[in-house]
Amino acid sequence: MSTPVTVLILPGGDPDGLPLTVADFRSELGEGVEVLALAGPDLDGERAAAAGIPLADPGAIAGTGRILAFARAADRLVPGALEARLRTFSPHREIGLQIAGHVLVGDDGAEVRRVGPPVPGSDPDDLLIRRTAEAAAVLARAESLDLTHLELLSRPFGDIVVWSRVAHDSGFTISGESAAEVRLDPARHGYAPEVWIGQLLETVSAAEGPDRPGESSTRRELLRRLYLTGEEPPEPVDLAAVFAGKLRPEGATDAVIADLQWIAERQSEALRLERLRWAEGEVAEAEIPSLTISEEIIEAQSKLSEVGASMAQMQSGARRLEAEIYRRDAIISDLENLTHAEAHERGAAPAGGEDAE
Amino acid sequence: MSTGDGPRLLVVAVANSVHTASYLRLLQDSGWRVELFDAQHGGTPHPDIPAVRVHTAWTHEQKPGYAFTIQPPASGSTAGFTDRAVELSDLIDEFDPDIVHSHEIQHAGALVDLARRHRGGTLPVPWLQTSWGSDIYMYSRHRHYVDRIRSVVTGADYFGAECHRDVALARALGFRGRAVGVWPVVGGIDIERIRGLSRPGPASERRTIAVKGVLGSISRGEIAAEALELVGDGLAGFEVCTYQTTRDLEPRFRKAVEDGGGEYRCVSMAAAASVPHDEILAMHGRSRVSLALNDSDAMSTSFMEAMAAGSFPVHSSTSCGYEVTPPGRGTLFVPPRDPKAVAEAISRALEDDDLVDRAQEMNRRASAEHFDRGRIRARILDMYERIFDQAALEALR
Repeated sequence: MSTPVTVLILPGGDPDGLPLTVADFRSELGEGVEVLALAGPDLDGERAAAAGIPLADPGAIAGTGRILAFARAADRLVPGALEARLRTFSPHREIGLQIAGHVLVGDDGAEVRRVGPPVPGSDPDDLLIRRTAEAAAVLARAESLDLTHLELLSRPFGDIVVWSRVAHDSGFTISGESAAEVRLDPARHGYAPEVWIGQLLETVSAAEGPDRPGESSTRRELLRRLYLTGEEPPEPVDLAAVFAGKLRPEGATDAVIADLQWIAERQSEALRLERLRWAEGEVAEAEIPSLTISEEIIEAQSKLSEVGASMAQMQSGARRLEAEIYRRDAIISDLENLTHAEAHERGAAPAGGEDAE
Repeated sequence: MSTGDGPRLLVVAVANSVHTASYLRLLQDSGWRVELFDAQHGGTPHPDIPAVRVHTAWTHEQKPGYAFTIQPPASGSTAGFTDRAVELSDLIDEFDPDIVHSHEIQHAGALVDLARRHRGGTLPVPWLQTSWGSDIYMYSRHRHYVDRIRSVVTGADYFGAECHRDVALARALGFRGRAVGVWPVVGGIDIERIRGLSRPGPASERRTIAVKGVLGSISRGEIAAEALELVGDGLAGFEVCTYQTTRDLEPRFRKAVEDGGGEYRCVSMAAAASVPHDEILAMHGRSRVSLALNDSDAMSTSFMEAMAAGSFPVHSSTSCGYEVTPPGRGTLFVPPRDPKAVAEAISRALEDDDLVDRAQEMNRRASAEHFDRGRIRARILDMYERIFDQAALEALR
C-alpha cells in the first residue's frame, strides 16, 4: 500500500492563485487528496475556505507516517512530475526529504529561469546558503517534522531553514523533475534588501544550541546589511530578541558577542572612511548615510550577558572618545582653514612639536 | 561548460592567472553558460582554465591539453586598451550575457568601464565587479590609479570583495550599488584535501616553519630573511622551508637558518610553477608556524592555507585576516617592513605551545566556515541567480 500524501499550502505567493494550485493537486493526486492550508501571513481560514480547503492542525501532522507535499498559492504543478517524484521518494523510508527543480516564471507565465535541484552530494548547509529550494519542489516525511518545523514553515522565510534542518537530521535526496512553475516574487526572489534581510533574520532567529558551520557568517551578513550598508529592514529589528535563542546555557553566547563586537569595529571603520570622503569634499553631508555606532548593537550587547555589558561600556567609551576627536578636528579645521583630514593629522601629532620650539 | 541553454555569464578577467582558472572551475556544471574575455593585453591563457570560450587579445596556439577554446579578435590582434573595450562592447551584443562580471579592477573593471562609456554610460545588463587582493586597498592610495577605481566602482551595480574592509573602501570611493558579499577571489580552498595532507596531532608537536620567500613589488621576502636572522638560535631543531623563494634570497635564507642551528629546505622557487601545489599544502600541514609578508593584501591564499592546515599564521598586518580569526589568539599580525616585530612574533609562536594549539582548532573551524570551496560555490551561484532574478523582476515592472 502506498504512503498517504497530504498537501500543505504555505503562506506566501499570490493569494488569488490559490484555487488553481489546489486544483492542480487534485488533478494530479485525485479529488480525495488531503489539501490543507498552514495559517500564516496572508493565509487565514477565510482565504483557505474560499479555495475549498481547511486550515491544518500542525499537531495532527507532525510525526505521522504521511508524505507531505508543499506549495504556495499560485504555484502551478508541472503535469506528471508529482507522481514521478513520489515514485522515487516513497521507497526510501529512511530519507526525510526530497528536493526537485522548478521553473521561475514571470507574471505572464513566461519562463524566466529553470532552477535545478541541488547538485548531488551537496551539503545540507548549502540549502541555507543557496536558497533555491522552492516549497513546491519539496516532499518530506511527516515523521521527520516536529511542531517547531511546522511553526517555522508558517513564517515567510522559514521554509529554507526547515529544509536544511531536516536534510541535516534525516538526509535528503534529489529528483531531476521540474516540479512546478513558480511566479517570480519580489518578496522572495532577487536581490532586494528586504528579501535578504528577511531570510537572514529568519535563519538567525531559528538557530538554536551551539553554532553550526555557517551560522556566524549568517549573523555577520545580517549585521553587515543592517549596520554597514544601510539597507532598511521592512520593520525595526530588535537584535536582542533575534539573538535570544543563543543565550541558553547550551547556546553560543560568546560567539554572538564576538559577532556584535566585530560589526561595531567594521562600522567604526566605515564611519571613518565616510568622514574622510566628506572631508575631502567628495560628497555633500546630506548624502552620507546614517552610519553611527548603533545604539541597538550596544543595547543588544548589554542585554546578552555581563561580558556583553562590559563590552558595551567599552564601546560607549570608544564612541565618546571618537566624538571628542571629531569635535577637536572640526575646531582645528575651522581655526586653521584646513580640510578635515589635514586637521585630523595636525590634531593627532604628538604635543610639543613645532610649538615647543 | 560554455554550452547549454542556461543563463549567460560573461566573465572579464586576466586569462593567464591561476586565480581566474580556479574561479572558473568553480562554475563548472552550474547550469550557467560562461565565456571569458581576457582583460590582459597578451599572455597565454592559463592551462587550468576549464572548457569555456576565451576571447583573447592576440592569436594563441590552441594546444591539445587545453579544455578551453581560444577566440582571437577577427584581425588577429588588438592594438590598444580602448580597441579592446570596443571589442568587449561588441561581444556583449553578440553573446548577450545576463550578467557581466569583471573579476579584478585594474584591467578587467577598467575594460568594462570603458565599454560602458563607449555605449553611452550604461550597460544593457547588470555589472558585477569583484576586487582582488590589492585592488582597492593599495591602488586606491595611488593618484595614478584612484580615478580609475572610482570610475569603476561608481559604475558597477554590484560589488564583492575578499573582506568587509574592501567593501567599505569601495563605498568610500563612491560605490552605491548592492554589496553581494565577501569571499576569497580564488573561490576558496579545498579544505578536505588540505586536511588530508596535514599532520595529525597538535601544532605544538610540529618542528617545521614555512616561510614565503618571494621578493617583489609587494612581497617582502627580504624582511622575512632578516627576521629569521634575528630569531637566531631560536631556530635550532626546526626545519625551515621557504617557498616561492627568489634566487637572490635563497642563500640568505639558508645561511640564517643554518647559523641558527636549523635545517633549511627550499620547497619551491619563485619561477618554479611546476612544483605540485600539494607540496606547498603538505609543507603548511607539517608546519608549526607559517610566515608571509606583503605590503598590501586582502585574504591571501597562503594565509588561508596555513589556517586550514593547522599552522599558526604570522602574517603582515596589511591582511584583512583579522575578519576571520582574532589577532593575538588565532594569528599574529606584524608590520611587513619591521623585521624586529616579525622576529618577536616568530619567537613567540615557537615558544608558546598553548597559543599555537588553541589557534589550530580555532582556525580550522574558521577556515571551514569562510574558505571551503563547496560552501563558496553555493554562495557564488546564489549570488548570480539572485542578480539574474532581480534583473528579471526589474524588467517586469
